[in-house]
Amino acid sequence: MLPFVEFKPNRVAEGDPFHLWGLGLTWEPWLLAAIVAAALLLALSGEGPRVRAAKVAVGSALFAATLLVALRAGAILVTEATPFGRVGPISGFWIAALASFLIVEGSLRTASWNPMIKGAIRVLPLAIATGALASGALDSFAMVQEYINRADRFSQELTTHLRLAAVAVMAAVVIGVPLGIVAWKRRLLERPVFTLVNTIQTVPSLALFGLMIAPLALLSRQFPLLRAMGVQGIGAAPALIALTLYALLPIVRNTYTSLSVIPNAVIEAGNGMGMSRRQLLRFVEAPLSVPIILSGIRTSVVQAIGNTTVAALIGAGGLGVFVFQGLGQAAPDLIVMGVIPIILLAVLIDRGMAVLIGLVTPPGLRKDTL
Amino acid sequence: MIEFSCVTKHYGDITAVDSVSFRVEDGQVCVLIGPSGCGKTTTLKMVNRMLDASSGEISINGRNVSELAAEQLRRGIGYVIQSVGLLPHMNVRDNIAIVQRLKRVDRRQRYRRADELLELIGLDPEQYRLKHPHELSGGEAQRIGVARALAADPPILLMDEPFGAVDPLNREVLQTEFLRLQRALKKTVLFVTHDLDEAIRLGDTVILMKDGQIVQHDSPERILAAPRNQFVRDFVGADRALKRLSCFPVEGYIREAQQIAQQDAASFSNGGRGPDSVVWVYGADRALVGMLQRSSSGYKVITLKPEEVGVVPLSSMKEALSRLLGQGIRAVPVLDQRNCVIGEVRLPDIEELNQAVL
Repeated sequence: MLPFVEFKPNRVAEGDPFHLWGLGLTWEPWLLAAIVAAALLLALSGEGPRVRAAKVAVGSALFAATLLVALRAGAILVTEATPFGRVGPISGFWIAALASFLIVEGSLRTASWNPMIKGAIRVLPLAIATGALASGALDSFAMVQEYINRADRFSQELTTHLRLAAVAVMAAVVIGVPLGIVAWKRRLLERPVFTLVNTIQTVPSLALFGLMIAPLALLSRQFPLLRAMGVQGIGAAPALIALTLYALLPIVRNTYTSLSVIPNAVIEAGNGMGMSRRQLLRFVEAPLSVPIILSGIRTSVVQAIGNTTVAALIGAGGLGVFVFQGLGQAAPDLIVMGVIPIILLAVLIDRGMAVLIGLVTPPGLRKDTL
Repeated sequence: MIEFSCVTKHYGDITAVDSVSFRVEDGQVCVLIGPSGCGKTTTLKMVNRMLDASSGEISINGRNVSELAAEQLRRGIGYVIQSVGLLPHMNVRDNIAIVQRLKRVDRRQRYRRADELLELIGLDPEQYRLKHPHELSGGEAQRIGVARALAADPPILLMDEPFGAVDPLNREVLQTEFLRLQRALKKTVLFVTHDLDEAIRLGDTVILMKDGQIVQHDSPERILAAPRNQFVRDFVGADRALKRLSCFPVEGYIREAQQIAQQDAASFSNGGRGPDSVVWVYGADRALVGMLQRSSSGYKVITLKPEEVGVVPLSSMKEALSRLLGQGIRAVPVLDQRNCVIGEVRLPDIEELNQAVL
């Protein structure tokens, strides 16, 4: 088996890998092995609601056991003799965690259970991990130590990160929705609009951020008013512009699509029964297109959360700060500490948007979208 | 009354409708028919100003439609299209009530009216009012489309190939239902179709169009019996004798039928009637279950499915004939809504009707 955790006497030292049975634990590795064996057995035993339920249970147990072993390892390896020592999960741990996720998610996806129960099963591992974190049991973990050293900075960068992404997406909605409508109404503009937003999307994010610097610096020098507003070559202004440009494509595309999928017959019927322009919008176009536009915004937000990471490079701040610090200091634990919250944010916002979209989708359309 | 005087519609250099004049009297069904591209749909769409005429005048009860606000005009005219166009995000009840919603009728009244209309078109309100369009069959959706057009009780209906996308069997059912509704509601209807049988069956008058002009405007019987020129003759086709049967509803040719309860069938003796007569057998609720047939050992009961053999009073004689031929029997039972036999149509009557014309 692959090494499960590593031990480092201090932050920059090379880690010593430990295998599952090399940790001096008694029953815990056997428990983990038994669960893995059960999972393999289930994988071979076909389909059916019972098998599915068993898979979800085994998958969840796998996660709990993995975490437990890592916790025990932390307690054994970090002693008073090594005050700067820290443990870090490595390949074995990550593979076990990933396997648990795949097993649970794979069976949940096809299960026809109550959405509330599904949601609870999905949140459970997060809750366990958060509980372990809050209780201090994970303090010997490298990432957690990195966090403890930077708690204040962390919450500040988290806020910056969220604010950058939110403002950028809002701006993209304000620009993108009308752009999508125009592209639909004026067929001549369809091609130029899509060429533009598609091209923006193909520029590597790092390059786009870099490209913003020169023109904005120039503007800032030419117009004192802009400078007074805080517009300069580096910092929040170029980051926001670049992030907004990136967020455009899904919004423009989905707005356009949402209008193009409304059947002509429905529009004709609406006109034929005497709907005014505004009534057509209210009774026909808006209810049919808003859910699709929202799912475009959903894609944009998730993307923006990820892209904002890179914004740290041009001095805009955000969780990317830790990632690049970690890169600079060759401290992978710091990188992971920055990356995990970014992933969690993206996933949480994605789920939240999914719920919102479910709420605004009229019952007659739900079948198609789910 | 809808009146067209010298109405022309140009699209660029193309003349879609060329100086057309005709009139649809109150309570009448006027069917526009012709090959595709003949201008029939364009003609229809100018009535509710989905299209505006290039020249000429269209008036409804003496008022020129071009002087009315298009939206107000349309709310007073029922409009049914082939693709139905139900709003997919609304349930059946809200779809039917939509025009009244535009007219700001309050919700209770709208919903009551929607239930009334569901009853009228023969769909159970309990079962249908909360369904969504994707749960309906093509025929059901089209009926809801008709109900929606009728919701605000407009005096005029425009129907643009309303049954064109429905399979032939269902189309006949929908046509029968349309005739029943029209008899009760007496709307002024302008109806577009490319199906001659449909035109003959439903129209009080039929207008045959070609290249934007009216070729013949006549009663269905006259179109079949006296085609004005070669074009009409070709359009009507060689089987016009058969088509003519579509003009006549069964109700004018119902003969008294002999019937007997199921439990008495075993002891039935011929009772002196000739060999041509058919004896229908009814079961519980007096609904048709079969017919009595002579065999070597007396009589036996042959089971029949009412929906396969029976016709209703508003069915056409053509339908009665096709049932006769399909089942290989000498008469078809005429049924009421509970499948009780109210009479029969006999082959000699159909033959006689057919020969009377030609």
